[in-house]
Amino acid sequence: MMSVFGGLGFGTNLTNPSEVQSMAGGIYFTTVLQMFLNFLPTVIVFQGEKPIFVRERDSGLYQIWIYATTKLLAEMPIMLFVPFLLNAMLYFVIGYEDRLSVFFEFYLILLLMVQAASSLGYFLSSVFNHETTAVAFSPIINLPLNLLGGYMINLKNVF
Amino acid sequence: MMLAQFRPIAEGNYYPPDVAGNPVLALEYKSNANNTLCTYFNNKTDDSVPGGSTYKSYWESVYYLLAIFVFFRVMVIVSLVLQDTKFGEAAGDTRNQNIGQPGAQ
Repeated sequence: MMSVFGGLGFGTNLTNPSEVQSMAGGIYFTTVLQMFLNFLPTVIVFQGEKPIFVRERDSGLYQIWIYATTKLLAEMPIMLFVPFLLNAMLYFVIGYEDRLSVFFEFYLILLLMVQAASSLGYFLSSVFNHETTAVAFSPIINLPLNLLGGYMINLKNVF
Repeated sequence: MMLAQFRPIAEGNYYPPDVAGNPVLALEYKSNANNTLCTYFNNKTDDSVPGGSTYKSYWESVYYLLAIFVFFRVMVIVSLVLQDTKFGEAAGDTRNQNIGQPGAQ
């Protein structure tokens, strides 16, 4: 749904110089959309699973690293597919270069952003015991990362 | 499909002044298949840019993202391990205390 929304917003197949801003906005929208779509849901995952996890750990069913690794592997297929779907829907509509190699370069960046964002989400989820605390804390992490990512501010002018 | 991409205005000089001497936008929008969006961002690591550029090259960005991914996955495990000894006390869960004891069901 967000891809359709983005396609409608940026779907002009940009061909004139006045739409450079739209092109840059399209890049920003695509990457930040992927980040938030995968970061926010994971922030509240572990709190729900914690009672079960505690019982199973007390029973000695598995080690912690096995729990974390299998959770990553179980989610890997959907995390591979979703950025590919979004990229396939938006890439050519926005009007990036229509070369397959560049398409997959962009997909690789989106894929790694999804993985990094979900990892950060799981970390916050594991640190905070309550969903409300984790959700309240997540913008404090996210927005400075957005600000200091080098897109909005030239960091050499700051540090 | 019309190819659309950013490309640097001039090699090694991304902010050429206009006729009045003011810096202009670093992007030139062209339908030119010789330069790609990725080429633009790769070239942005050039330190000759006045004021400096903070854009990373493509593969440098990939390595940074991989590092962030691995770091936070490891931090999840570290966080859970550090909390592990507190789980029973914090949750007040005594339901499994008889596991392994004689007569346990």
